Amino acid sequence: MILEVKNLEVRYGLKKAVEGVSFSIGPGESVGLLGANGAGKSSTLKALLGMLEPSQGHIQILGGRPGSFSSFEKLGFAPEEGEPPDYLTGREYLSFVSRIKKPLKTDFALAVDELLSWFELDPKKPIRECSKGMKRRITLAQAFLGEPDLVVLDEPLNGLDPLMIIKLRTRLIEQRNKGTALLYSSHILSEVEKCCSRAIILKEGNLVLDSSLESIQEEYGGIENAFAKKVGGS
Amino acid sequence: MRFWILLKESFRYIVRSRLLFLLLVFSFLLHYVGLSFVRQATFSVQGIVSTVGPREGMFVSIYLSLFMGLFLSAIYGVWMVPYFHQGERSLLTFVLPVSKWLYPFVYALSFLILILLEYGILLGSFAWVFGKEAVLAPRFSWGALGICLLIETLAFEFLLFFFGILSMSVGQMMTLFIAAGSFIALQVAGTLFRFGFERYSEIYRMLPPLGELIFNIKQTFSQGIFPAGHLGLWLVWFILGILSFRFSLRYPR
Repeated sequence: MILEVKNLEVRYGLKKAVEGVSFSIGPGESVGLLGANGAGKSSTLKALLGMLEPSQGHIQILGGRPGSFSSFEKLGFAPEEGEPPDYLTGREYLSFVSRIKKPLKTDFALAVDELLSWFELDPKKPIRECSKGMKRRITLAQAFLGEPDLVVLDEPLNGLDPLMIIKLRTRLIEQRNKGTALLYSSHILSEVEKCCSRAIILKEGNLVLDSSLESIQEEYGGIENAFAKKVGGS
Repeated sequence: MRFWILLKESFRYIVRSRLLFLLLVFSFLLHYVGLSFVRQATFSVQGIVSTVGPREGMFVSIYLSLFMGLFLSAIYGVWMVPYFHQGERSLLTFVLPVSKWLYPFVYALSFLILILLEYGILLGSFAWVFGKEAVLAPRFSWGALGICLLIETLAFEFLLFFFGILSMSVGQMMTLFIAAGSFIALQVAGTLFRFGFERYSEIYRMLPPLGELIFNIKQTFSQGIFPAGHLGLWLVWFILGILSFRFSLRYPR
């Protein structure tokens, strides 16, 4: 199993942000993590990545505990608001991440060049001179370096133009076909429907739906209906 | 391997942020101009006019280096150390497959290289102002000079982490105020405890001996007194600084 979450609980003081959430992700599975604002998506992601300590529950990610060195070796993560170091160029930053992820690999330049070209990035442009959209592309590109077994994307479409959104979708489907697991946190239901094979819906910190998109289609007639029913109550 | 990759990246940041250039220029100006000024000064005591010799010149250099080191540790600690570990950048840094233990050692070594460059400029300026023979046949003890620079280095390394942790916790502005306040308090305490107030001196003796730094340098260089206790205390605080910094990286900020 790539990711296993059992009875996760996250508290901020007395307030429970996540309560009793359990799910798992296997190799090659692509799972959409959905929920309204404040539903507990970010807290769940942070707990999975070791960025906050859960008050209860058990998480195993890529064979290790959250935040462990071994888990980060096989993980690609693009945060919603990641800011790459601005004194570097796009190529320098991606080369740095690539070398850190696989220090013994000598042909990292090939992967870096492929990503630079794929995300249509100017390799020599300093990041401080890049637009918000370009910085977003660099943040996304670094998540695919080092042949990750799991890619976690938090609101990946923010700041991307429509053509890049379409392109990213094809990349995610390709990655999935290669066996990379994907956890895709988003507000955009239609994108999750196109990229993922399964959806998890959180409401007020509780898991209210964990089902394949096929089943959701059969039972609710689509993800929007499922979301409206489970979150909106209509 | 990852240590060297991080060290290289740390140095690229130092170069691109122009800290290295500023250090080289500012340190050279401070040492060269300072020593040239001192060299030309004359003193008249009871009608006997004397000039400042190489021994006193080196003593002045050590003091100038003290100010330069404090300045450098403040800049490196307040602005540069937190760069990868704060705000939106911290999320990307946090998930890199790098042991969090590497960071304090990378910063300590990067900073040590800067400090050694500073000492190189100190010696270069000294040789330039007082001549080659002042270095080749010195009228001071190299051992005493080495101990003075060692105690300064340990103090700067500790201050680097003190500034870094504070900057990541309370922000840059507050760090400068807290650091200035602590510096003044320790200096005043160091002076007061020489004239009594022994009741409180037990606590003071456990704190970083910042208030003793100038006395230690003076005693070591002038009288050859080895400040073993304070050297040990700085080493302990430096190790505590490394540990505290490591654990301050437990979660992204």
